Amino acid sequence: MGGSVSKMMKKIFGSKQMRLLMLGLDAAGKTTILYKLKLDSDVTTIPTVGFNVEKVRYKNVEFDIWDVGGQDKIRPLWRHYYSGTQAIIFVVDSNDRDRMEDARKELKRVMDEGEVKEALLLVFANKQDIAGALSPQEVSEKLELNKIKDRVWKVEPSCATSGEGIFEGLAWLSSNVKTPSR
Amino acid sequence: MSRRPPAGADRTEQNRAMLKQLVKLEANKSCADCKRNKHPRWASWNLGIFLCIRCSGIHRGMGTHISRVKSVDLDSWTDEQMQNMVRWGNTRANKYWEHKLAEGHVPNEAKIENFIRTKYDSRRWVMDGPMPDPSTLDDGEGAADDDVPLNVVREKAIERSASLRNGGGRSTALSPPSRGAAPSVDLFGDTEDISPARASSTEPPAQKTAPPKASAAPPRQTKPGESLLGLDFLGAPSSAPARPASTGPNTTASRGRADLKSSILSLYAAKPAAPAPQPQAPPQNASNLDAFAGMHSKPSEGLNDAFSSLSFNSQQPSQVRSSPFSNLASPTVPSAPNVSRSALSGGSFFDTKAPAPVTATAARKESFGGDWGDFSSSASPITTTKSPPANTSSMGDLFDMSSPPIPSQPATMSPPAPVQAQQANYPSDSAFNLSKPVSQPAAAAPKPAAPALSNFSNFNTADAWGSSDPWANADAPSQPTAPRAAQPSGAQTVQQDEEFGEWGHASPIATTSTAPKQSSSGGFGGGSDDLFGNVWG
Repeated sequence: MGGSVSKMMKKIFGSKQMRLLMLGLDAAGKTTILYKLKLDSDVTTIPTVGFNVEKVRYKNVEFDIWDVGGQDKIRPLWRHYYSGTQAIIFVVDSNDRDRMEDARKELKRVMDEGEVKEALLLVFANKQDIAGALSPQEVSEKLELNKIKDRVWKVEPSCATSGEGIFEGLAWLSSNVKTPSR
Repeated sequence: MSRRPPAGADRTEQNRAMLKQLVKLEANKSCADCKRNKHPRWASWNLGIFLCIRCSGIHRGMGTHISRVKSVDLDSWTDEQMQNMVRWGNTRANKYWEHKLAEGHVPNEAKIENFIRTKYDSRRWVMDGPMPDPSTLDDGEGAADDDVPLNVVREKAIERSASLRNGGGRSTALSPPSRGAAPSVDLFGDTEDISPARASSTEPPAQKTAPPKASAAPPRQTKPGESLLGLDFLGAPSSAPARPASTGPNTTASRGRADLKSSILSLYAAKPAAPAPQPQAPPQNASNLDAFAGMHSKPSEGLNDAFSSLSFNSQQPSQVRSSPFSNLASPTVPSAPNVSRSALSGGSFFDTKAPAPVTATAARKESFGGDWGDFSSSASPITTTKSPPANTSSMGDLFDMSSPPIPSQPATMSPPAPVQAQQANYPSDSAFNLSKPVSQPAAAAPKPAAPALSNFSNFNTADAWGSSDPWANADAPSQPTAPRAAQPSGAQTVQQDEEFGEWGHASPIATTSTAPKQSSSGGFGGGSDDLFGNVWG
């Protein structure tokens, strides 16, 4: 009973919470996206060794966004951030064709984890501003996203430095997130 | 060999080790762009430069079509990426990318992003014309002192990469089973390499011949490359096969353990070696000798008592000795030994500068071959040491047990080996193509050296056996006699100075002989040590 009341309250007053985990190969643009969301500015980042976490409020939803370093040897640490994650944002450098295959493998590895099987998947086909970048469709082909059947997913073209597509992505997340059953 | 991990893991580990060596090079010790931050841990592998983390962030911002950033520590590296780092490096890269900037230009810290984008994206200061072969960039101007180590590393790396490209010759060497046809050949190659090396180790002449070895060098080079790359273990295992050849007549039985022993030995050798490189550097040779002489005398005796356990101690002193000796010897010995020393000392990394002059621009590769030969030879002494115990001692079995530790006593063990080596090695060498041509022709010239060697062997014997004489003549007789017969003078000196401390003073001559050999061992240890450092560091 109490739970339903609080849910109603939440609907009325509109404070939804969502925990997001942002993953992807190194230099995909995760940290830039995070700070674009947080500060709405284009910051020059340094490689993330460890993680960044920021609270971002957007359209009555409070997002806890975790941005974890993507270097090869620290990818195994991603799993420590899985628990309680409602959506995974997988960021891809659309211009880095050589590493699309790496990205696909990493994404598959994450998707195979039981801990995140309920999570939404939002793929940012990032760096669309670079001429010659793969289109979102190409990215989704390279990542073999159509093989993902048991999960809600979306590819969003983005440019972290200009902010294009990023807030659209958040909007999609907030409208598709399942209210956690309590 | 059987011990080795799968080639893939091995390779990445190698690359990692190499990368760490590259970062240690003087030119790569500060960020290629801001020039301020020391000890960069990031790299742009397509540009071949090492960067600080901040500049790497800017590089990432430019896009992968301009710069591909990786972490030295947090990423795994492919051979291709590795190779590009070796080919370029900060010095060469800036010769190209900052061609139109004043040398030593340090960008304004506040405008570093602008600077980097102008440098690589706008290419404002780039050298005109097509991108040159990086190796041509430093020949004229910058090839000065500090570049030598760089070249050393580069050459090795390139050799290795080349071999890799050529069908994984190296890899086969590393993991014979992995490759189909080649393995058998490679295996032989290993043994060949080693055996000649051993011969050299046993015989100082071989080292003198090092320069001529150039012809024989190519096959060896591969090996050295591996060892350089951080495969300490490789050196040891390779030595193992060699052992049978040197000791061949003596102990076939010991072979079974050879691998195990060698592996263990290699480990020991590596660690104790660590101290060696340092002593090498200083000019304090004499003092070192004194100190060390004192050092070894005691451990050696201890060794005699309990052959096995003490090996550690003995080993350290021996290697230490070697280092001081090597210093002494280096002057006496022509250029070749020096080169070998430098290479061997792993010095390429540590002491590189000293060797640099010698590195003899003329025959660098050749010298490498020679160096490596020496290097391998260094390994060989260890092996010889192992086998001899089994052979010589009536207590053979016990000694076998102890033998693994004994490696430290290579010197002691070696005496029997040298004798055989001088007489028997040549034939063996003949069996193994590499050393033979060199060694035999060399034999004439080296002979003077050979006596030195004999001294050396005696010396060695003196440590283990000479001490043993006082303690138990009965056990030793066969061995000591043999070395003495071969090299009476050395033996006498030893006998005279039952206290080893004096020995060190007394035998400058011996030192010459010992120097090359031990220097190699020391170097070997040093190199391996480096490697270990990498792995652990």
